[in-house]
Amino acid sequence: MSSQTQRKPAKLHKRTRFWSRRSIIVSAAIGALLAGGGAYAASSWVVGLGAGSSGEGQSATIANLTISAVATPAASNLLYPGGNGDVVVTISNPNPYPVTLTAVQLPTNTTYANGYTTSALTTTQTGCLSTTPSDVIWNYSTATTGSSHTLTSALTVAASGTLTVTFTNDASMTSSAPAACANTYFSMPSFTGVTATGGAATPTTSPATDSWTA
Amino acid sequence: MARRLTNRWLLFAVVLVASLVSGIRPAAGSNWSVTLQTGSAGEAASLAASPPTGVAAACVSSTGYTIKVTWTAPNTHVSSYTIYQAKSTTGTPGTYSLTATGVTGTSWTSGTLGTGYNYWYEVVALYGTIWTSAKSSATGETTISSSNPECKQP
Repeated sequence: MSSQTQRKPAKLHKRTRFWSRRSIIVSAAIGALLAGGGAYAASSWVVGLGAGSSGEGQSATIANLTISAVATPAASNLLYPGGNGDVVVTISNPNPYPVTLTAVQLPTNTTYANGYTTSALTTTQTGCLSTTPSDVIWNYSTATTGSSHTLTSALTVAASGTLTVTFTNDASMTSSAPAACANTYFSMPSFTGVTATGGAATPTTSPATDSWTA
Repeated sequence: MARRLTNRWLLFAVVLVASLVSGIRPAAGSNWSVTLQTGSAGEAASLAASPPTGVAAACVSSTGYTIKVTWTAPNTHVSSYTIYQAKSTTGTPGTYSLTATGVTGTSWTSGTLGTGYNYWYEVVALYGTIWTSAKSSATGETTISSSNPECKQP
């Protein structure tokens, strides 16, 4: 009997020590998570879109944004010789945090769009190709590749989300565009990069409208 | 012994999760280069080079022996119009010939025309310097004749 009463405090002591250790570990972990999350929310960084390079060894946890053509909503302002037209894009953010775009970097003003017969961009338009050339370029692009243009409004893509944006009158067609380029759909040249900051931000409602200038 | 192993696994799991979470957070101010998805960065579209509509012709009674052609612009991006005219003594227009280029606005008035002929017109829209629309529908015939009170000289 007395031996039993002597063993109980020992068991209690072990259990208490076990829970204390686990409590310490869990508390430390929660603390680390909270601290990390807080710092994550408060930090900002730059995400670029650079052809031919990825990551530069700084981190493998930032995934590339993707910007692709989309047919819906249809462009309101259509291209014509000597005029500008809308460009519709979908921006996909595979990262588990919002990313806010503030500027785009453009290819040169001799990098031309490819023409297609339908909005599906599957069948090329004879006589209206990037090599013809189509004479369709990004508006405000220059002779130097990578010219940066600030967006009129910053665009925030939700964590693991997509955002459809119409860039108003940001495509340009010269007055000498081939006649074959009438009634044509264009796949715009790829951006050379984007400037973006990551962190807590309210996602932009899709579809959105934006633009840039010189 | 088993409890000690459990504790170690718990510690390992916690450290792993913490590492993953802290790994998501990029360093402030660092630059990142990422490749763009193969293909396009956006879709644009061009308008169709549509011809004018509602083309009509009528004699100008104030001058006589002249015809005014009017039409409706297909859109606001036409740079100029080209006028084609057919002339015949019969009821069929025959061949249309280039009559006027660089016409701005939505009307054009001919010079003095020969009497005793029927006239027809077609209009083409020019976009920029190269794009041309198809020819519009032709006007009905307009007769320049002294017997036509609106088309004879006043």
